Amino acid sequence: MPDRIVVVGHSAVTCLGRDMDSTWEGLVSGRSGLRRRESLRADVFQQSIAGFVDGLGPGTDAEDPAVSRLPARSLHLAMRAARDAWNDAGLDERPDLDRDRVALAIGSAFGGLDLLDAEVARAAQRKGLTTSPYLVPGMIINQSAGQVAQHLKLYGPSIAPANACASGGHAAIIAALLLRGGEADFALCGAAESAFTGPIVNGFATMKALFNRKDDRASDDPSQASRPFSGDRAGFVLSEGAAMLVLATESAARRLGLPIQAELLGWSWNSDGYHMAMPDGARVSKCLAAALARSGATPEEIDYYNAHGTSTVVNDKAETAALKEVFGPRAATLPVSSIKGALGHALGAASAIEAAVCVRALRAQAIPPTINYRPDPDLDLDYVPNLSRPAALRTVMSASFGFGGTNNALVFRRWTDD
Amino acid sequence: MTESPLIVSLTSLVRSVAKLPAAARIDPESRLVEDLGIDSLDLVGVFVKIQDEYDVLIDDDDVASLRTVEDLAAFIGKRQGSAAA
Repeated sequence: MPDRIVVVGHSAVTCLGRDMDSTWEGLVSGRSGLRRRESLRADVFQQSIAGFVDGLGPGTDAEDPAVSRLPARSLHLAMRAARDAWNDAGLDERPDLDRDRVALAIGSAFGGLDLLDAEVARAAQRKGLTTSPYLVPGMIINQSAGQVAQHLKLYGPSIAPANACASGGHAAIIAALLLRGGEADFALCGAAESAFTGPIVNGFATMKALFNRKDDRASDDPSQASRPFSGDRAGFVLSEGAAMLVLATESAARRLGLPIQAELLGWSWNSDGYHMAMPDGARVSKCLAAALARSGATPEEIDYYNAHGTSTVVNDKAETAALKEVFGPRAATLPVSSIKGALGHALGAASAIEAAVCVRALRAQAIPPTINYRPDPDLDLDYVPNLSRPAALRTVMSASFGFGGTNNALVFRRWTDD
Repeated sequence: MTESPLIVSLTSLVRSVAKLPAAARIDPESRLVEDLGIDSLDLVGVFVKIQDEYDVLIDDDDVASLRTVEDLAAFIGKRQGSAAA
């Protein structure tokens, strides 16, 4: 039997909190991290409701001096999440850790586009064609992994999945495969995103993927703009964030005597091969079914499904249909929630945040709710509306689907030492 | 000796861009690479920041002669002087 893949550390940096504890506390309290932000000026951005990680990143008091030359927000969020997860695993000061055997898989959909935006504006004012020497190193998507490797002194293989909104889940799968393939004993994996540039925000708005409705319940209360699975859902709200897991082979975790937090029991990933941005329900179903099969879990054994649940009309309908197809009669009683109601959509980071939240849910034995929920007569699953719920959770699934037709599903199991 | 405001602000710019510690001594005649240990990437970062802050163009041909803070100040003075003329 192959070595089991276990989680020994997890972290999240979100608009609800700068760390995992405050993020979790916000989620189970039913709070939203989404606000109207004055910095998203109407002459540049079509939408000003957003989820920011306040007080963290370049130019703030909490700026990480190790990466201050590279002021891409996603990179700074990645550093913070990586340091937190590494601390959580207790791997900070371990002279017995073979650092050549630690892999990194840290993804992002857009990387340092904010840096490009700022540099284009500066260069337009400059005589000549000079460009900052920090632009290229700062905006490449693999620089987060590079900086984490440099500053945490990790020397195994590194990779940066750029799989749109599935990047974080893909990172966990790549990490698990590296562990299973014998390429590493530990893997720091996750994703980070901050893509608040005019063209990106407005591009999502033009696609009608972004919440952009006037005369709506969010007009007075912007925190209600993201409302997955609700009858009046009208698109996602863009946010930023990062999250990481520290995965290990069970034998490596035991060798170092690390507390095991959960098992990554199984996973699946596939491609729609269908459309640049629309999901293909049949392939999504296949992805979920494969994750069940490869985990050796029956539909009845899944105690909670953490949804992609973007709050777009199309996604939430397709995801609900896929759950009914894959879970059969169990779908009617399966608790399904989307934390994007509270956190908005952090694009590439979202699935990493959701994976970390699943690990925390297993430990806390509680399900975070889908906030801002109002029923949709066509969507009739148990969406854990508005209030968190204590639950006996043994096995949970989290799925994510990205533009470009790229899907993944992760299955985590509660760890018991017997 | 009191340093000129330009030297003071350039010293601060060099310290900030190259992330030199607050305790690191930077004299007007300190050589950026040899004495302060600034690497090639940060050296370009210093030149670009100067272009942004002082609205001057630094060409590749100028770079070889810009070895100290003093050199930078003289270069900026000359360029701004000629622009004003």
